[in-house]
Amino acid sequence: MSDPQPVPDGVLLCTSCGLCCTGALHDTAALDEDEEQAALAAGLPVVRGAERLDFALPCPRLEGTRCGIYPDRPRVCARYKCNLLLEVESGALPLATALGRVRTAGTLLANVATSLPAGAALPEIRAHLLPRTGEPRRDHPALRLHLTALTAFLDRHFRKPSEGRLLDIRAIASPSSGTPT
Amino acid sequence: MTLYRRTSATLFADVDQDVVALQADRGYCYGMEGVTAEVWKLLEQPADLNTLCNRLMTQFEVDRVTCEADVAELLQQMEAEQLIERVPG
Repeated sequence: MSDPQPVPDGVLLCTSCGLCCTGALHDTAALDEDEEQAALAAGLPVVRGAERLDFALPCPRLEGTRCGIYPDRPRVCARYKCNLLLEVESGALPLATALGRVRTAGTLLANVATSLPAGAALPEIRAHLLPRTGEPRRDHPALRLHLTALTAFLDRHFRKPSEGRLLDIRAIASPSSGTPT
Repeated sequence: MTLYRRTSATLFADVDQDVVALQADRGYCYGMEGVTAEVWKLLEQPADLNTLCNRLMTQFEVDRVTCEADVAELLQQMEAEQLIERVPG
């Protein structure tokens, strides 16, 4: 009998996280044209736009931090790697540090969830409270703070530079002088 | 001696070592890292430039002249964004 194979760090990370399925990182996920029927059959909220086919996030088939249709999941889900996962896979970031960031994100997400109106999904509340254009909103300050903290953290650690940032945040520039003692 | 304090319209959250702030009256979000986040944390109580630098010089390798110039600029930025205000004397 052979020894069990070690679980790859990337698998440990993804099965502890699931954030890419929650709508915290993206509003939608792209489907290939030939996946529409399967996606509908799986109960995914398919959205047909003028130029692309997507399903809306959060994914209703997410069970805790794991996929409920893993063997039949859309190709985009199989392909997608967030920045955190890429850093772990490249050896640039220790798994323990990455798992710590997942826990922090989980706490920030829970803070948002406690203030979220019933039935509201993260993408829609983000579009409403953190608009990318026009005047900033001034309502729901507590929820907006929690959402800002979550989104800033995800922008920094989870979203890839090529994906851009979800949040327009003003930096108060740190002085360049001074290093920690 | 000018004392500075956080404005009541500023909400904030610690995120790891950083700080995310929301100026509720203006609606803008701010990210603070490093020395900036440290200054923000020190402003939990009203403080003047001298007090802030005394504390920062125990945490960062910086001489007083540089520290005072940098922190004064930082306080000016924060005040302009209405994150902090001068305590009426």
